[in-house]
Amino acid sequence: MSELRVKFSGYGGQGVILSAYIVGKATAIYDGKQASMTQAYGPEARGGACSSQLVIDKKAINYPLVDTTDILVALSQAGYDKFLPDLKNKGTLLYDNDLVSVVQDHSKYNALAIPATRLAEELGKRIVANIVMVGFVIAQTKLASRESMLRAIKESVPAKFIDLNLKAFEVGFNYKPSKRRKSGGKK
Amino acid sequence: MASHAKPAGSGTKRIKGKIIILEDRCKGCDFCVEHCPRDVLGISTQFNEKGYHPPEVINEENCTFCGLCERICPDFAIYITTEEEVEEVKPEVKKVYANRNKNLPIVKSTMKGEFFMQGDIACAEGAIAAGCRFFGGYPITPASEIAERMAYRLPMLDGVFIQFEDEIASMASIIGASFAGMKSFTATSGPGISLMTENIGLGMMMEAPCVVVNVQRGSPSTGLPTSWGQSDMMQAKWGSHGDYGSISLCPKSPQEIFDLTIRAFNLAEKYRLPVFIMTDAIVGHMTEKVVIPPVEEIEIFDRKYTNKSTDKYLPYEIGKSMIPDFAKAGDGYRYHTTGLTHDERGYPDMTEQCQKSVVTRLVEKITKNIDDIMMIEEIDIEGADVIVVCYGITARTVIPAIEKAKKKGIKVGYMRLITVWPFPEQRIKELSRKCAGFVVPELNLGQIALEVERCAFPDARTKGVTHAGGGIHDFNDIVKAIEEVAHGKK
Amino acid sequence: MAKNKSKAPKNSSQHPMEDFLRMDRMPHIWCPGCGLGTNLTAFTEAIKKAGIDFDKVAVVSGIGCTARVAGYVKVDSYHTTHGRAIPFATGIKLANRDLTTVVISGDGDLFAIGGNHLIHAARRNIDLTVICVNNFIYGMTGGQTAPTTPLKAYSSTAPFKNYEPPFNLVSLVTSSGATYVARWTSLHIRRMTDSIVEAVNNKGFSFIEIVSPCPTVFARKNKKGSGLDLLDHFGKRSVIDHSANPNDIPMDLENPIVCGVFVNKPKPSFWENVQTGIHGEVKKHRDYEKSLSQE
Ligand SMILES: Cc1ncc(C[n+]2csc(CCOP(=O)(O)OP(=O)(O)O)c2C)c(N)n1
Ligand code: SF4
Ligand code: SF4
Ligand code: SF4
Ligand SMILES: [Mg+2]
Repeated sequence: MSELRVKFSGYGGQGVILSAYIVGKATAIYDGKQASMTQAYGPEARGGACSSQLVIDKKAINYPLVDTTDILVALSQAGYDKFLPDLKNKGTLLYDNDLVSVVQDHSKYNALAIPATRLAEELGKRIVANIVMVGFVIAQTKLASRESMLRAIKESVPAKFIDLNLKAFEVGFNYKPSKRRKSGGKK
Repeated sequence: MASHAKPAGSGTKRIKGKIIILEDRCKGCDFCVEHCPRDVLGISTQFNEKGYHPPEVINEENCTFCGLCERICPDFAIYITTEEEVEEVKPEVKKVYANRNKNLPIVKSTMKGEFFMQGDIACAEGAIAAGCRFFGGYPITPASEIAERMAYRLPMLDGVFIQFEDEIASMASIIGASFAGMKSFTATSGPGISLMTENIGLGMMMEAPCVVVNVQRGSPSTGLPTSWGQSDMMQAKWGSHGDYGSISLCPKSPQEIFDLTIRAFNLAEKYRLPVFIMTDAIVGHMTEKVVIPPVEEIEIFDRKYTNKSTDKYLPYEIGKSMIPDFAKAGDGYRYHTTGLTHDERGYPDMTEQCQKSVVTRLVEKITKNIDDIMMIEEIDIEGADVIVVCYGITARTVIPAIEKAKKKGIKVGYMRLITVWPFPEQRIKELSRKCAGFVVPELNLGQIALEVERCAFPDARTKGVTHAGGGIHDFNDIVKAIEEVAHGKK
Repeated sequence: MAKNKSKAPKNSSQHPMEDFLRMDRMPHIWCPGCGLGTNLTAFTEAIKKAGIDFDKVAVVSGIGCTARVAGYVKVDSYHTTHGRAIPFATGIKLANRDLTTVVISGDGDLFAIGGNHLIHAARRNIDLTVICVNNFIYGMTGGQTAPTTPLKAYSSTAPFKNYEPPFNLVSLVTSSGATYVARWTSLHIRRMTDSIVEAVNNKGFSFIEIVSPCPTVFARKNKKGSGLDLLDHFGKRSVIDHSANPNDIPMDLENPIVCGVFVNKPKPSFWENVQTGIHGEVKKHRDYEKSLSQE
């Protein structure tokens, strides 16, 4: 794997930054890769569109920012609208298809949908939607190993929520996205 | 003191004593004459050497040796002695000082391992690893995480955290804590540094070891609180009024913030001054792997304490090192220090010679030790036609541009200033004889570029790549600048 | 106190203050008839009387005539920047709680440029003793208006008299939370001394205002005669009333100068509060480092 530029987006309070943190921690500390996380901060992080950026590489990361994106994770319409233009051709888009309802043409992308928030609600806590999404992201992109992820989650969430979060991760990890519409017929 | 013998018994017993007048100290205020309850004193017709009329004893037999004249005299020019007191010699008490002539003891941190850690937090952990146990600060984006981390960590380690009413107080407090023998620091951003500059000058003048972190953001004024900049680089050199040497370290990653914060404390202790960490909002808020080694593997330098006895110690006496030996408050040295220009005793000295020697030393203790202080990283410098001089976050964002220029066949060297101050004047001068010129990208409108230009021989060109902050350079601008310098375009 | 021997001096130039003042710096810079020397004597007498080892006293001052006290008193002494003595002293005190830390500075220094630090230190009940010499004016810079200059008094920046109401210092610090508050004049040498003893013994924020004659600028601008005249004038005007409400005793040019100890209500200091508060909480996090550190 060479350099991957990942953007997690959503609105403040969805745990977007924690998502990126956990993936970053799993790759940087347990998978022996390099990871660099930066976050859009300030007023943006309070209710509005909020994002967290993660660069993962085998070698040292020089440029830590994410402009053109390899993988976009969208937990809100605003995040989707704002960051989709930066997703590169053939990039991977992972989104919550309940919260992102107005979609554009996805033919250029590898677009994968999951009702993460609904699945989290079924677990009893919508707050773990981010972790459901993270499980989905890991299963679909192999950004980090499953074991490292489980370890990173255990070490990053409050003790009494570890089980819930691990469960959420598994739900997302095992979720099979609905068959994508074959787009454009290229290839 | 030679004080007030109480009227013994019923007051019939006469106390024998003496009124002593130090005529030449007197400034003739008559306080003693007027307030003596027994009219013992009068005004002499004689002049003293300053031209005042001192008091004289006119009714010695009336004196009760009450001591009022001694207490009221604002010039310490009159006092009384009584016979009783001659016997009253108290035995010398041998004093015991715990921790004399070393920094105050601390509880060590045992934290170690590999962490996925934010830059600001790594800064706080670096300070803790360096032995800092005092933080005085005031919240400001993007530096607040440092204060928050210290508020959490210091109580676990018996340290002192205090959030002040402003940055002026914060800076004053860390100098105070430093003189009490505790490693101390504060962290802020541009607007806070502007308030701190007053006492940064005091720290420079008094030579107080401490560390000041500037997580730079877009400036001037309130600027861009949540976004990026490197616009305070000259402020770290010239911010407070007057000449002094500055040490400013520019980390490029959370790991380096950790490492350089330790180094900043070591340099502050060694050279006795406030040392700056000049980071920025990107690095401060960036999360990466940070390795914290076990405490025993971390190299720590503590300030050099005097080994002189209390009567021989002079707080600003200079040996060979240009750095005066330290004594902390409470060790019995009872010394004075001031922000005024001072002599080796720490006493104000308003002479031109003293000013010259103090200010020159404040500058030269840094410039003459540049080899010990300066850290630069060089890649592909030998034979380079163009040298990119960079620091902090920019040292990372320029790499793709350098690679691109290399692909175009240009020999590009990379020079990263880990210490921006003291500035590597000699090295720039040397390199400027051998290359076509320098490209200096920075998130300001040209601060360090001016410094490079100043040091380089005129034949070598210096081209700044400016950026007002709030974003980072367009990669193509840097490539273009490299090409221009390589091809000698004006 | 080893050096504090009440021995009769060997020669007559050995003033009993020799051990407590930097006599190598005498004569001091203060004007003839200035009350500052008298106030300094009261301070050193108080430290002796309180039985505090001079080695364990730190004096911090700002900038001004009063602030020069730090240069004359023979203890660890710090002459800092204008208005910043209190936070500097806070740093010393919190770093080494064994030191009796005293701030001695002027009315302008403490209540104009340093006013914010003062009220916050009082609010936090930092264990400091603050002695404010109130001469109603900026002495050092030549007699400009201070936040203490009485209404209708002259100053060099109020050539047509001052029309700003002054602060009532004891009222301001009391309402900010000081746990010991007193006011004296330079003439009350014994009471002032006793008051300083109480103040340094109070484990919290103590404040003493000393109304002191400045013959050179305040008296001259306001036609109050010599230092002695001004001192006598304070003497005649002062009344002692410990039960006075600090809010009711502002200062002006004619009315009585009400002196006394108005507040003496010890409360836990900043550090005590932090320690007792944090103690239990921190225990819950005791294994924090271990939990994070990997072998
Ligand atoms: C930042 C700053 N502003 C102004 C000054 C000039 N200055 C020195 S002393 C002083 C006033 C001192 O008045 P006060 O505190 O009442 O002391 P006094 O001389 O009356 O004892 C001023 C304004 C300074 N030193 N620093
Ligand atoms: S000791 Fe008392 S009585 Fe004697 S001269 Fe001094 S003030 Fe007067
Ligand atoms: S009080 Fe002191 S300075 Fe004043 S006249 Fe008496 S001896 Fe002289
Ligand atoms: S100017 Fe006033 S306060 Fe200053 S030394 Fe002279 S008399 Fe004292
Ligand atoms: Mg004054």
